[in-house]
Amino acid sequence: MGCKIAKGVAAREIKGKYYIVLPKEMKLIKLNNTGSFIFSLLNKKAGEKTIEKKLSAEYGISKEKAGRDLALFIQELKKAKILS
Amino acid sequence: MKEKELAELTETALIPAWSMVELTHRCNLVCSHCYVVKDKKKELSTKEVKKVLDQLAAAGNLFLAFTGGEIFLRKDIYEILGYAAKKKFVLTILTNATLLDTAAVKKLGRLGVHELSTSVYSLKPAVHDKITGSKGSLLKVLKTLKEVKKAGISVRIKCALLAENYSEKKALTAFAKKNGYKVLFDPVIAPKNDGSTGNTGNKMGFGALKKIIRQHSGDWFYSKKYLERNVICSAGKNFVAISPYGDVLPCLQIPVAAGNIRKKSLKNIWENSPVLKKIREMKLKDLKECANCKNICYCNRCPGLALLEGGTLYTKSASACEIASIRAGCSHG
Repeated sequence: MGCKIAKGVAAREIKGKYYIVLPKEMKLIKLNNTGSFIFSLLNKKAGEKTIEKKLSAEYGISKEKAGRDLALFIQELKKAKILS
Repeated sequence: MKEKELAELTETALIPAWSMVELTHRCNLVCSHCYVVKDKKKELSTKEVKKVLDQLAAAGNLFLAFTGGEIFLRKDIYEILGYAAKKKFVLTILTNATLLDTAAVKKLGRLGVHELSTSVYSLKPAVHDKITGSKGSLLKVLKTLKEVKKAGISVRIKCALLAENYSEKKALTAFAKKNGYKVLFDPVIAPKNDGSTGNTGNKMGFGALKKIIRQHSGDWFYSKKYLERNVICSAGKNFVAISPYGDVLPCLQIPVAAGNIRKKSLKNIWENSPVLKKIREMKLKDLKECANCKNICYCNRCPGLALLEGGTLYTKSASACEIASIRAGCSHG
């Protein structure tokens, strides 16, 4: 997958949800449950296949759907400059 | 920005999302109003500071500010900043900016420092340098700030308003706006951290304070609900401070140690300290002198200042009383 959390981005898991700060843009983003689940795996440097598998198991969805949802989510994170 | 939501969540859940870490009390300047009391105790080592950062990150800390004294007097400062960058904090540094050259500023930019906060007391060298006790300090700071901005780091000017510089508030505001700097003025001069007042001799007189407050167009009326919720601010709730010697404080303005990081973990202190518990439980009714004051709805009393000025967290704060009475006067025409 080759994506990592961008330089300068701060992130903490607080009460089960991830809060992400983009200091340059002065933006604070709160992820929902699924987003937080994926982000915690990204934070642990998990690969795409691993995340797909865990997402599928956690939410009872097919691996294909998990893969599509993950790709979309990563695209959004990249667009928001959270991932590089 | 969901900062308000984060502030409320962390305050309720007692998560120290905001922190200030004093890295040293040593300083190369001798500002006339400085509140720091120098101690001969041993400062936290590099390893100990890193351990503090590990523990802060684990506790949910996002917004970290390093302050002093002058942090660039520490030989390990870049190692500490680098470690903090790795731990992914939103990093602010408070410095007098007199020890930074071009290369150092570029390095700060590479490390991802978000904001540099420094004091500019006047745009007149004679005034600024007299306050800092260091000739040439203003020119040095202003030169450095330009480089800081160029390095992509946000700049915040802080200015304590004293008898000799309060009249320059407008000029400093315009200067900050022109250069894209944030600016923050503080009309209150806190006593030193041991309660002594040798540093408050240059504070503004009542007339000057009145003039400054009247320039402000804000609404100062606080509801009872707001006051009850803010008897104690974020200190010890979602804010924590660490002294250069490892003392865990509810706030730098409340120099009462809740524990020491050399003896116990931050988690243990944060969750079990009787000092923090007492502060978190403060209620408006506990403030005997303030609860029924006619100016209470115009008062943003700081418990730390009350402690330093009156001896306890529960007494009135003379500076807050002064400001509240002026605000009430303004509001009543």
